[in-house]
Parts: sequence; C-alpha cells; structure tokens
Amino acid sequence: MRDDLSGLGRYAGPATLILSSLADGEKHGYALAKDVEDFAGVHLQPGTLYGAISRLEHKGLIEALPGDRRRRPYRLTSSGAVALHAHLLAQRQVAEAGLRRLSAGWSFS
Amino acid sequence: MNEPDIVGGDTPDPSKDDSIPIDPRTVARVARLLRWYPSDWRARYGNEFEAMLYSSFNAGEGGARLSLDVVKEGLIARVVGSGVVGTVAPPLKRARASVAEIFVGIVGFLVAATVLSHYVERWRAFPTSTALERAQRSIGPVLRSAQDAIRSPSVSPAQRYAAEKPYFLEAQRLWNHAYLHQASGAPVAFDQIMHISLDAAAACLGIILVVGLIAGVTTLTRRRRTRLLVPGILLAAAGGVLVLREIAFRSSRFPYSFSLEIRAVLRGSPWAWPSVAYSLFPLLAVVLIALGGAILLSRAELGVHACKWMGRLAVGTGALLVVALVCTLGWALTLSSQAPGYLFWSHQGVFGTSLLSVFVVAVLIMAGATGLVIGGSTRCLRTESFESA
Repeated sequence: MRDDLSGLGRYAGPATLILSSLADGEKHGYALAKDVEDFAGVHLQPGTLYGAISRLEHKGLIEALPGDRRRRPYRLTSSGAVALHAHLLAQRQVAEAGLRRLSAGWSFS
Repeated sequence: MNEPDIVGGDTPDPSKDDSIPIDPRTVARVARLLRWYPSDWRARYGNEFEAMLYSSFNAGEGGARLSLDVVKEGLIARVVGSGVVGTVAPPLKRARASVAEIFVGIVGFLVAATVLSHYVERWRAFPTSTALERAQRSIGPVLRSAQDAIRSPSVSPAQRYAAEKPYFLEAQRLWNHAYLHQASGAPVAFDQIMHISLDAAAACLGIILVVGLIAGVTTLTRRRRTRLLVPGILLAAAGGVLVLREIAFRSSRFPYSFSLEIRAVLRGSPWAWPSVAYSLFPLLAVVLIALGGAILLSRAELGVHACKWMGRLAVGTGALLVVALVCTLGWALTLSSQAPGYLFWSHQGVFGTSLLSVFVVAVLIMAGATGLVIGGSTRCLRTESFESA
C-alpha cells in the first residue's frame, strides 16, 4: 500500500502527529497543538503546525470545516485516514522489528 | 458513519478571552511575524494563525524559538507559493518561476565565467620563443632588485606603495605567465569551445529577456502595472548605474588601489568616487539586472506557449553550459599538465591569492547555475497541464 505521507519528506513527523490527533475528532489549531502535546509529548510550534496543516490540506488528507474564522476546525478525510493507517502500520513494522532485535541482544532492567 | 464531535472546542483559548489584556507590543509582534508569509497564505490561514500566535504568547510560549519557527515556515511558504519548488502553486505559475530560475542560472554562469576569464585572460599570451624566454628570465633579477630597493629604509611609504602596487604585482604576474609559453593544443581548443558556448548561452539569455520584456509590455497593456513596479524600478536602476559607470569611465580616473579609494570615499572624499564606481557599478548592475529580470519573468504574463518554448530553449542553453563547464575543467587539467603549478602561483587570484581560489569558486557557481538551468528547463517542460492554471 502506498504511504501518502512519504511525499511529505521531513514534514512527515508533524503530519503524522496532526493526523493522529484528528483521528478521534475535529479540532482547531490551538486544540490540535495541546492534544499533540498531551498524547505525544511533542510541542508543535505555531509555524510548524500551520505549515503542516497547509500541506496536509493541499494534499487532501485533511479538510477545514465551516466555523469561526479564528478557530476553524479541521477534520481527517477518508484518504487521510487511509494514508495515516498505512503510515502507522509501516512504523509499527519498524518498531516491532527493532524491539525484537533489541530484546535478542540486549537486556533492559 | 457518525460525525465526531469537535474535540478541544472547549479548550481555553487566551486570544478569545477578554479578561486577558493583549499587550500592544504583542499585537505589533504578531503583525510582524505574519508579514513573513505570502499574501495568499495570509488570506487563507491568517486569522486562525494570528489567534494561535496570541494563544501561544498568552500561554508564555512566545520565545525566540517561536519567532524563528514562524520565520522559517513563512519563508518556506513564500518559496513554495512562488512556484520555485513544490507543487502547491498553479502549473503556469510554476512554469513562470522556472523561467525566472533559468534566467538567474544563465546570468550566474556567465558572471562566474567572465570573472574567471578576467583572471586568466593572459595565460596564452606567451608564444614559444627562445629570445622571449631569455627576456622573461631577465625579469627575475630585475624583480628581485626592485624588491630589495623598495625594502630600503630610505624609501618613503608612499614610494614603496607606488612601487609595490600595481607595477610590482604586474611584473610578478608577467613573470608567472612567462612560464606558460608552452601552453598550446588542448587548452587552446578547450578555451575556444568554452567561449563559443558562452557566446551562444548569452544569446539565449538575450532572447529570454526580450520575450520577458514583450510579456511585460503585454501585462502593462492589461492595466496590471503594480505587478511590474518592482522589476521596472530594478531594471531602471541597473540602467542608471551603468550610466554612472560610463560617466566614471569618461572621467579617466581608474582604480589605483581599490581599498584605498574605498577608504577615501568612506572618509568623505568625493574625488575617489569614479574609481569606486568604475569597479563596483558593473557588479551592482549585474545584480540588479538578475533580480529585476527574474522578478519580471515570474510576474509578466508569459503564456503557455511562451513557457514551453522557453523550456525548450533552456534545454539547449543547459547543454551549452555543460559544454562550457566541461571545457573549463578540461582547460584547467590540460594547462596544469603543461604548466605545472600554474593554478597555485601566488598573485594570480584575488588579494594576492593563487588562481585556485578563484577557479574553485567560479566552477562551483557555474556547476550550481547549470543545475538551476537544467532543473528549470525540466520543470518547464514537465509541467503536466498548463491549461488548469
């Protein structure tokens, strides 16, 4: 399955966090940043956040909903959900392989 | 599928809370930060981004990292929005940006090649001749005695300066060039091919600029004059600078010591301005023309056919630049084998350095400029659908 986030290159990190945050519901910018900080411990600066939002919207992975112009909510699109799913599966594969190899050669107390 | 609720809708947003006073300095800072983004980006995201910035500032997160992040992303948005990179801008806008990129690439290449040629222009001025060789060898003792003479304590600093610059260095340069009498064959051929390629590339540049000017006039007739104000001012300024340079040339005052003349002008002595203008203004004019031409080409309403045609022309120009670059490298390699150490002799390059420094910088710029032209032409030709613009 093609991973649509791979086209975002070094921006894939913030993009994954934003898509993951939107996976459980619509949020506006400030709420997105706070949610990402809560579940991932990553503080997205406003510039990085809106840079990623504009790229994701341009790729059709998220969409803006009508609302207050200062607090416009964003929603995951169906293609965004597919892309996030593929990307997270690929990441899980890497994480599982890495953990398996680590546990074979290293011990962690 | 159930529509999920807006999560985080109740999250406290300080920018919306009237009880939190907003410092006028914060308002000014937010306005300054927003200006880093292009106008179309601000039109789409400006309001919510502004609210986000107020929220961050009120939450005590408005440090230097935030400013740097906004500046970085603003510049990225500007570059992407201009169509130079990425696929966000409309196809026709991207094609116009590519034409501007091609223009800048050719100008950069020609400037670097011209500067390099200036430093190596006399490399084959010494034919093989036993008599000449003897004469050139005699320069050595003369130079050494001149060197001893100017080190004498009886020589005043002014006399020493006059002896050293530029005559002494000129003699040193001639002395170094005297060793190049064997240069022939391959270096000469490479040099000739390189110059023919550069002339052809310059002709292509002229064609691109003429097409850009025609498109600029078309834009003017459509009453969109403000778009061409900046490139018009830059090109007019370039013309003015060249006129001033001509006046300086006619004043018959040529640079004696550039650094001395610059210092004199900085100290408020107007007498030295012609020599400063004579040396600096051509460079300034080239920069202004490159900037003005690039902005003109990206803003003028170049049509679909013009963009495609320019792309094809740029493919040919790119090939010429590759030939010129290969010949420059070939020239250096073959000449170095005939006159070992030529690139390393002192006083051939800038500020008494060897020619190698000039050569390396020039070749790097030429390679980068060739990449720009080839990349720009590829983007111009590969643009999938201009019609959707």
